[in-house]
Amino acid sequence: MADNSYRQDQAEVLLSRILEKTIRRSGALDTESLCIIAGQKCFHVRADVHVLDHDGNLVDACCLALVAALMHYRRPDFEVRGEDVEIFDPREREPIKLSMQHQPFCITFGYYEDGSIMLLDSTVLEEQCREGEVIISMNRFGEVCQIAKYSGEPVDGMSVMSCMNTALEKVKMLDQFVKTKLDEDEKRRDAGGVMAELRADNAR
Amino acid sequence: MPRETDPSNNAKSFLLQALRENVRIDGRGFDDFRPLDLSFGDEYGVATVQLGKTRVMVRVSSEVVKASADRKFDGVFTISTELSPIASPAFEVGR
Repeated sequence: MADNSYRQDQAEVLLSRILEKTIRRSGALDTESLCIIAGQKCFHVRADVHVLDHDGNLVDACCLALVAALMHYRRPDFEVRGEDVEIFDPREREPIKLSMQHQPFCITFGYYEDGSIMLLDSTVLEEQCREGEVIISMNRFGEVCQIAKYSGEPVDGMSVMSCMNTALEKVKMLDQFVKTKLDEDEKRRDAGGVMAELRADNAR
Repeated sequence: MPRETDPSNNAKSFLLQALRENVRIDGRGFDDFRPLDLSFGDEYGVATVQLGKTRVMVRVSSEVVKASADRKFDGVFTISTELSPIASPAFEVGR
């Protein structure tokens, strides 16, 4: 991506299309849980992906960051009384995690020498020299969300199959990595929630 | 429009020759990732991934909107991506 074989607008379109296919169309985020009153009010969850520095493998990095951010985010709590909806401030009520159905990750393989060499996590230089790429998205259960191959030389079906096994192994690693980091973050900010802060005998 | 500079022929053939001898330029194995780091912001829903020199930040936010008429029981989820010139000189604003 974003190497000389694409123009920038194409690179951006490819990136957003792959994220769209991997995360939105695979149903990773349960959109039904964002409904407040059917047909009237709902949450609009928006994810803004900003690339701050580019040294290859943007797709994998963006996908990882996006999944991590979605798992980290908490939406405000609400209460419905008849036709009225009250949205609670995070200080009033503990915000709620989004409900995720699975966590898909992208793994990009760059290939060289007619597909006999497969590289993971290419740098920009490696991306500029490769013959083509295959982008595989799957979750830790090995369920494939999408396979994309937009350009480059043809690649052998069997080597795509072996990529699947490598991808599964890597996805499990990434999944575990994100969970560990989320746990660490939760421990860091855990003050016992609103109830603990409201108690008279808290640390303050 | 600006383009990423082409690698020189020497750099290219050096990389390919190294790959034929099962070596990557930065010494990683073929199936290895670069050092990976994930950090979260102070607010909920801000995540930054650093993968080697590649760096991506994602911010998730939400607001309450009117539900669309054809999908009454669903909320809305959108992803917007931005390749800004901060990432690479080959990226332009407003493209």
